[in-house]
Amino acid sequence: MVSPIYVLAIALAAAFLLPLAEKAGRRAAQALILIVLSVMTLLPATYLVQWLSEAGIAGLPGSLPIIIDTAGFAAPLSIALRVGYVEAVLLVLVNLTALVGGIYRLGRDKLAWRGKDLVLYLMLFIGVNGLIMTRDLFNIFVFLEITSISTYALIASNGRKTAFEAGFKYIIAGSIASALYLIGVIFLYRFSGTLSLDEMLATESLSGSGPLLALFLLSIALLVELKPFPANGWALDAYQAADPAVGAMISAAAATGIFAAFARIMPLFPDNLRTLAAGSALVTFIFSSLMGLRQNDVKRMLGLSSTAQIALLVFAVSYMQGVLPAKQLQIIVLLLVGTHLISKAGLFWLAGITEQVSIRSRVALLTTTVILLAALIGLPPFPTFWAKWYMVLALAESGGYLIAAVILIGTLLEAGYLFKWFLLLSKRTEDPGDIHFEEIPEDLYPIGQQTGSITSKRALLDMTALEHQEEIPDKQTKNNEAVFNAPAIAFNSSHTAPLVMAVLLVAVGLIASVLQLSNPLLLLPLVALVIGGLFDLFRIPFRVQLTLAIASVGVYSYAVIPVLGGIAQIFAWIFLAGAAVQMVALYQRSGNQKGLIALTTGLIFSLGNLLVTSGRLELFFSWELMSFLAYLLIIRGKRSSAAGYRYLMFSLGGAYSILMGLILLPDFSQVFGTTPAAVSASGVGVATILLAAGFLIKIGAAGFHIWLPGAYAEADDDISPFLSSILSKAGLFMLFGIAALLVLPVYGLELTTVLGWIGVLTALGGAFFALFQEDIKYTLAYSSMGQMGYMLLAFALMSQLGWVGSLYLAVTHLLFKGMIFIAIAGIIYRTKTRLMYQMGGLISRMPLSFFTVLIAIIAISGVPPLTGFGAKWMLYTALIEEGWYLQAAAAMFASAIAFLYLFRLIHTIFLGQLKDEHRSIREAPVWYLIPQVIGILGIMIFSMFPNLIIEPLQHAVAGYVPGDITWQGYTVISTLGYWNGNAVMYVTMGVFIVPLAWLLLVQRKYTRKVRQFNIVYAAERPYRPETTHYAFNFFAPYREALGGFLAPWATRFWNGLRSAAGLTGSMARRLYTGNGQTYALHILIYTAIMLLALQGGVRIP
Amino acid sequence: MTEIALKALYTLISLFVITNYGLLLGGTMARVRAKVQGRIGQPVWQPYIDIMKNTFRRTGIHHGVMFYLGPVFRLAGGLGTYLFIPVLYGSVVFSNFSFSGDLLLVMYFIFFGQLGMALGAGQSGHPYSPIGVSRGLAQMTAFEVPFALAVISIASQYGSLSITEIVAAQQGGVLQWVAFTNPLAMVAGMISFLGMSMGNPFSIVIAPQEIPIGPPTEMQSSFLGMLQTNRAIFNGAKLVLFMNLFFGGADNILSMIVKTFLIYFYTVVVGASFPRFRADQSIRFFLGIPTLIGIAAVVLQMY
Repeated sequence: MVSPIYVLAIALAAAFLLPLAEKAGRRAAQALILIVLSVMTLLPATYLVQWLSEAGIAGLPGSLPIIIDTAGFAAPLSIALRVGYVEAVLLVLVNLTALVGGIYRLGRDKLAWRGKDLVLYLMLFIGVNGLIMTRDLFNIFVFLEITSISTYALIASNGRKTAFEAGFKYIIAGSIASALYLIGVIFLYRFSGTLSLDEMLATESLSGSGPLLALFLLSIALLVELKPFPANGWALDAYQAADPAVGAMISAAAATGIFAAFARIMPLFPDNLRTLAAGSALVTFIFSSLMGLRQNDVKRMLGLSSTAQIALLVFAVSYMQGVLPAKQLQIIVLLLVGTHLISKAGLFWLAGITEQVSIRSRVALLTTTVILLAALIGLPPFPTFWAKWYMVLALAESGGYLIAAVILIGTLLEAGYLFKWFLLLSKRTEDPGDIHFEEIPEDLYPIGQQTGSITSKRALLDMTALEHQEEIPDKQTKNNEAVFNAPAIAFNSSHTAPLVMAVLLVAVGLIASVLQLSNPLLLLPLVALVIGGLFDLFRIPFRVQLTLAIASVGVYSYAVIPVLGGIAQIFAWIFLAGAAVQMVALYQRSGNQKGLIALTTGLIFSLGNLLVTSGRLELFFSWELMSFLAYLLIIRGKRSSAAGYRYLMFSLGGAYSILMGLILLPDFSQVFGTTPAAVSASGVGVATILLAAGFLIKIGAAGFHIWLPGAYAEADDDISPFLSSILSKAGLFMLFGIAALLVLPVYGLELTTVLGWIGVLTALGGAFFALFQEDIKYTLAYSSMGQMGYMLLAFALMSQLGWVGSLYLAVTHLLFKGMIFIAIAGIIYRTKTRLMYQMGGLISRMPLSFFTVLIAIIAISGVPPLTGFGAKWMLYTALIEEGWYLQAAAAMFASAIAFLYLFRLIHTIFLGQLKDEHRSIREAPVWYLIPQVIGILGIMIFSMFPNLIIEPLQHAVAGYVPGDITWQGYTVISTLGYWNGNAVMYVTMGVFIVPLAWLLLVQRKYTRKVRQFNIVYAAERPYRPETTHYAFNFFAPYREALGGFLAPWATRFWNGLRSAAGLTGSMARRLYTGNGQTYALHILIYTAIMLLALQGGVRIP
Repeated sequence: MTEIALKALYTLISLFVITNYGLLLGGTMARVRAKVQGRIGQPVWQPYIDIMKNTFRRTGIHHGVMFYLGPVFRLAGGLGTYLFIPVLYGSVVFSNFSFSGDLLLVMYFIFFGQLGMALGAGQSGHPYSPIGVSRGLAQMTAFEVPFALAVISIASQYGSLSITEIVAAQQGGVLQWVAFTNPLAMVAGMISFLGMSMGNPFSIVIAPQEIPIGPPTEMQSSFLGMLQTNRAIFNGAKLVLFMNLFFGGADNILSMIVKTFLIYFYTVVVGASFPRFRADQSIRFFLGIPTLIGIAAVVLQMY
């Protein structure tokens, strides 16, 4: 093997040769640098390849490191360098980042990257490479200085005043750190008599207060270089002022090098020093995350993210040493540091790109951003996901629950500000990027031919005036258009740099997933994403992709459904068959739908995988993947960025709550999906609450629901059905899974009772909120929330009738909510509005859609003879059986309110007055009608023969809860009452057909249809359809009656929480005055506090 | 086959009785109201005349399919509600189709007619119709709450949701009636009955002076005839239901007539004594004291 010393030597030689190369031309110098960086990347890569070929991936940690003794002497006499597999991986990654960074630099500004910039660039990487390899304390100082000095210069190199200033502050901080380090090294040399790290580790003499102080100085110096809170203002200023290309290198490469040195010295530190470092790291982690929340400069925000990530690394090496086996810790740290290096570099570059162009319409760059962000936060399948999983798991097992919680909260905050940035990058111009409040536009009179018989002079005058009114273009819109229509900048090599990083992360993530997941089914969502991405790359037509996707969902269902049993099988039908039917509506789309198929299919597979998983890791993997893919689907909507962001934050919060629950539970796989009577574990209370909270968030239960309306409503119209009728049930399935835990009382509290009341509140809340919406999709979204409330309530009963009722509702809700959402998608497609009062009289134009909606609302409201009544009957009977009387009454109230908004929905859209602009619209497209017809058929069959659905459900829950339902022919009998769906259907048909026949016989001859405005008006006449259509604020008296009861308490609470976090961050940010002297003082105060903490307080002699 | 024919015959008898009783009751009560107001009033058979007149009109208009079907839905709702209730305790002829479902079915089938009528009225395009519907539905959700609480209280009292069983449990003397064994439930139920029968003070739905008769504004000819027929049957069904729930049911026609007459008379008395509520006032009213009474009735059953 070629000696690793050449990595340094080549770079050094090239740095000297650069001026010569410059003589040959700028390009020659740039090429030389790229070649050198390639060699620096490839050389350590060859070691890895060789080790891998010798020992395989499992044997890699055991392979012998390469040790180089410089100058021909052995270690104490000379400086030793060592390259084991950890160092080799770091070298490859750092140098690759340097290489790609070079390419980025070239693409960004070809002319600027020359001369001393090139030399400094190489010097920086010599320093970092050296920091990674060296085993000598003083040599670390040397490389640290090389790194720092080149960094100062690079920061200042963009020539701006702020950059000079930031560079100078960096020098101040760096000098203090160097001084401390040097003093520490001198003392250590005095105590141990050597500078070689390996020798020093071998000596026993490093105990006592003297060596401790020396080590303290050493650790403080390195910690300061790693930017701890609050002594990191200088670094943040530097990130903000420097060119993003330089920022990327400081954040990614330099920090990695210094961290590598820190991790190497770590074994010297006694336990108290390690704890100190770990504590400082945790504080930094949390505060950096908090401060990021209100940060509005991208580069500074990324800098805060860097300090947080590095702090996490410092914590990992200093605290986890005793918690995890050394080799495992090594891999975890390597995954964390590698991902941070790659993704942070990529993100800094992206920040640079977005300074120049808008990326909102560039799918490749947006995808790259998403991948980098997801990797940084630790979403599956990226390496950090695995690292964090094992880290949190180990922490919990050693009793460090609080620390695990702090790490998860910090991660959530970090996701908060990073995705806020993504929101701004990705949102469309017409999207306000904030939570959408219903805007009631001032109604303009429609212009065009009037077919309602208008003769009023005034009305005609109004119309003429309007026709001649010129539209004044909004200045803002004009600006937006200018941005949007700006000539797309031609392909730029700087744009490929982040892409390379993203590809690398995806590759590593996929490999990690393959290694970690035993069940190949779990990889399917990832495969779907990759294949879908490739399809888009090769421009396979959308409808071909869709057909393949539906087919693959079909095959997957065919493989999975028969294997599953019980409740999981019922949910498999809902998730998979339901999704396959609803995907038909997507055929209506045409043209290029980048990413849609990949995301949809991946989401469906990960949803299905929830049903087949057994272990907690698999479950959490699928759960997070599902949540994140759903986020990506939601933000495809036109104005959905803020709603999607809310959804993501709640989903992540829920996922972390679930994660904590999972790791607190001793044997998850023995609990999941077992009968309620089978588990009698003690001390699982907190775990149960955390798990339940996570699943309730997904359901959108009252209190956690504020993400729900926006997410369902603002997503694309043909995606909403899927979200609201299928995805919403994932949480319910998981609750069924942990039923065994939920029946155990926690601290004397019956969780099922609590769940039941949450269900009641959800049902009531959903219904009331739906009542007052003017936007049809918000109405339906809240309606879904209400329906989930019933399911939750019925589930919480833990009785056979309750569970069958809950599942029955889940199945029928899929049918009717899917139908109605797709029907509404068709209507919005035709009318181009979502506001109900702007529609009206559409029954004559879209009779099929009307019929679907009619059937659906009869079913939803529970009016016999359709399926909905079965759900209500089971729910109330089960509630009264169980003695939950008040809950039953509240549920009845909620269902009456549901009747209100459903009537309002069908009335304001289809009945009343047809508007002039809708006189010639057509029925919804056929692709929308197909799923509707399937839904109608399903509802009709289940209404006629309720046993077709109830009996399978009874079998499904048979093993879990004791039974109390019996059958007598078509009559289902509970202990309280009975219901014969079949007879009800016949009686209803009878009493309906007889009057109809009578009417047709008696009246046919005399009745004739009249025109729209031919109505009885006392002493006036209808003016226009708009003024005659009673639709806006339909239930005004109700609003008045309820008054303050309707205040959005949950929204206020969460907003308050958000402001509190933001405020804390803002207060912390006030420490950073921008003054170099203050920053120096910060470092000194930090040192003093750390020293005091080390001593355990002030010692009074 | 004979069974079905017999059932059909019984159904016809049952319907014949309730229709005529309902119409005569309506006529009688109109006359009672007139007396209170110092008028002579209409003859008791006036409802028959109205229905005949409307049904045999030579002209009629409609506004579309849903308008056409609205009265059909309404009448079907009335008929269905009636047919799912056992009218006379222990009578085969008057047991109707009560084997199809229990009290919950009846409670929800009431919505069937309301929904259909509301849709029909909606298609007329007349703004007064949806205004009336909006008020009516809003008021309905409110009075449903005390009613639901009363029903739940009774169901828990007797451990059954079957109307037949509830009536059976009340046999054996006046003191066995729910009105005496569970007076709070009776009070809550009877207050919501006022709302259900839409007389004063809860007549905002049809508010004659403001939105001339509300939902049925556009209805005429045999559409209106059907609605009037339904009014008789539906009223009868509700009266029988409340009689069964709170006043021990009836085991012969005479007892039924006396009890239902008194129940109806009570709404007329209240209606003649109080002015009309606004929609929001009526909602607040039902969600206030009556709901509290209902909750008390339920809570008493818990302990």
